[in-house]
Order: sequence, then C-alpha cells, then structure tokens
Amino acid sequence: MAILQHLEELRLGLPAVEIVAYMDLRSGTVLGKSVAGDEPQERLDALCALAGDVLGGDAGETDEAVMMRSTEALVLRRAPGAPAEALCLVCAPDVDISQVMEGARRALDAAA
Amino acid sequence: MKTKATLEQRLVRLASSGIAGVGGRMIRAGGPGALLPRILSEIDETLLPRQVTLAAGNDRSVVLSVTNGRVLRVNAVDGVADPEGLTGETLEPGDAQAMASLKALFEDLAGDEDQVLVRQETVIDDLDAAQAGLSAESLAKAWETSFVPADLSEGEELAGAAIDTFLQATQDVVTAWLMTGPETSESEGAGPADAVDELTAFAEARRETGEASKHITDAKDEPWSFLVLRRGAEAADVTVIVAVDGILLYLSVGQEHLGKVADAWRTAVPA
Repeated sequence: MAILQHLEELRLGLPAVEIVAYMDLRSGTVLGKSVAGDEPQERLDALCALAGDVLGGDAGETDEAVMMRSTEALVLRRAPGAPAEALCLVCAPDVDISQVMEGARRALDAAA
Repeated sequence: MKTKATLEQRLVRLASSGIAGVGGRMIRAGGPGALLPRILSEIDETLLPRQVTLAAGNDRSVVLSVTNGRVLRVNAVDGVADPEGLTGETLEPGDAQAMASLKALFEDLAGDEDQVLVRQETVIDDLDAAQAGLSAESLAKAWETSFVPADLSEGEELAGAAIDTFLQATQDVVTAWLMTGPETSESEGAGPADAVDELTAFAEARRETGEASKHITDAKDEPWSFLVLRRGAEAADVTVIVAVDGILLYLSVGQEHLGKVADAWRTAVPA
C-alpha cells in the first residue's frame, strides 16, 4: 500500500496525467486516487472495471496496457508482487506514452 | 455484396508496397479449399506490372506475371505438376483450356492447406496488358467460384489509406503485423513466420473469448482504437492492436518504439 503515498506525487510529476488511481482488480475497488479535478465515483468505478477486463482477459493475462482514443489515453500496470492490484493513469490524448509508462513503472517499483 | 475479407485483402494490397519485405505476406483462407477466391482477389487487385510468387508448403510455388488484374503468363512452377505445359506460354483471353490448367495448377499448389505465401516484385520491363491474359473475373466465372471483386466505398478507401499510412510510418520498427477482423478467421500478415504465427494465435484467442470486439469495435461511446498489451514481464515486444473501421491490425513492436508507433497512429488514423 506504500504506492498510495506516491499517487499525488506521480500525477503532479506528469503534467498530462489527469487521474492516478490504484485499484484492486479482483474486488473492483479503487484503493486510492489523485485527481486533478472533480471526478464522479462512477467514472472511477468504470475505470476499475475496464482495467480488470483488459489486464485480466481470458485470452491471457497482461502485465501492462495502454489504451488510446481521440479524447484520452489510459496506462494500466499491474503491481509487481501484487498481481491483483494495478495502477491506472488517465492522460491527455497527446501524452508522451513512453514517459507515462516509465513513470508508472518507477512509482510501482519504488513502492514495492 | 462486399465482404470483410475482401476489404482486408484490398487494405493489404494498399499497404503492400515495401511493407511485406522479402518474406512476403501470408494469405489465409477460412479453411481448406477456400484459397482459390483469395488468390483471385490477389490477382484482381494487382494493377501495376508485378511478378507474383505464390508459395505453399513442401517448397511448392507458382510464379506469375500479373498486371491490370490479369494473369499474363505462368513464369515458373516448382513442386507443382504442369502437365499441360502452361509454363512460359502467354495466356490468351477466353482460352478455356488455359483456364482449366491454371485452376489445376493452383489447386495442386494449395493442396489441403488453407494458406499461401505471396511475394510481389515490381516488373521492370514493359508489360502492355490492358486486354491480354486472363482476368481474375473471367477465371472466377470459368471456375464457378464466388470471387468478389473489390469495390470499396469512400469510407473504406479512407480506412485503407489510414492503415497504409500507419504501416508505412512504422515499418522500420514493427517486427510483424497481422490484419484480421474481430469475427473472421481470415487474416494476412507479414514478418518472421514465428512472430506472425504468435500474433495469429493471440488474435484467434481474443476472437474466441469475445475480447477482440470488447472496448474496441463494440463500445457504446467512442471506442478505443489503439491498444497496447505487454504480456509477460520479460517480453521484449509488446502487442499493439489498432482498430480502423472494423479492421483489426495486430503488431509486434519493441517497447522502445511505442512512442513512434503511437505518434504514427495519431497522425494516420482519423478520429
């Protein structure tokens, strides 16, 4: 749970990131978050469900995923040593994906 | 009526220049015996002068001169019976015997397989064949097969152009790619055979579980059209899935190149 202490720091360190959320994929629960503005709980719950679907698909488990569309980008990454937990970052669509992926990896490694 | 398979073939044709590399592209049919229409589509969509090599297992191959959607000549065969001596002969329009021989040649090539490797090389010498040779449409009629000529709407042409642009921009960093649909087993790809096979198996697994459509082509709001999956902590390559107008493009890409691939998608694919 040490990652929860880093959520705010992670979001503020990556200007294009609007939401950083730490999730329990198994229960579909948002364990902690750092949000730039007001985000309804339903939105966070939907992100949690999406992360569970994408990282835990029946075609094979995935450790990390990036999803993009014209309005936003998502970076999802499982926590090392706690595969049922994952970090979710919601970003602007023109974000530097590699930079955000690296930021997520560092935050999780630092908390491990 | 157009089929998704026809669209996919045409998109690959649009994307074929330089993308396939020396290894060629694999054409897969829905099952054994279904390759003839796919081969005819390949011929139909070849408009500029090309030497087209169709290769199957056990070192069997047929080399054709094709232009303007017509087979002008069988240049060479290897491991395939040619009892009628078709090789080297210029094919004349309406030659029923030549059409039957060509069909036998292709059937012998395909055998029980459901895939064939296609390589295209630009022909330097001038082939003036506006009306010469055997057109794909005439062959389809003679062979009584359900060949569907490509006839794309403006939107489909735009989708094809977007995929073409995307593949051109990423060809230096993509290890392998596979083009398919969320509900079809037909696919075409390029790259090392093991990498294409791995993408094929993954695409099939996602189709069987319904994940191929989930969040990508069936979303109620704007679908996600670019998806990166890293499977296995030590995996060198990541799998990128790009969705354009119902077509799914699976790519194997080194993780260090993700930024370039994402930028190419933003540039090439219309919102």
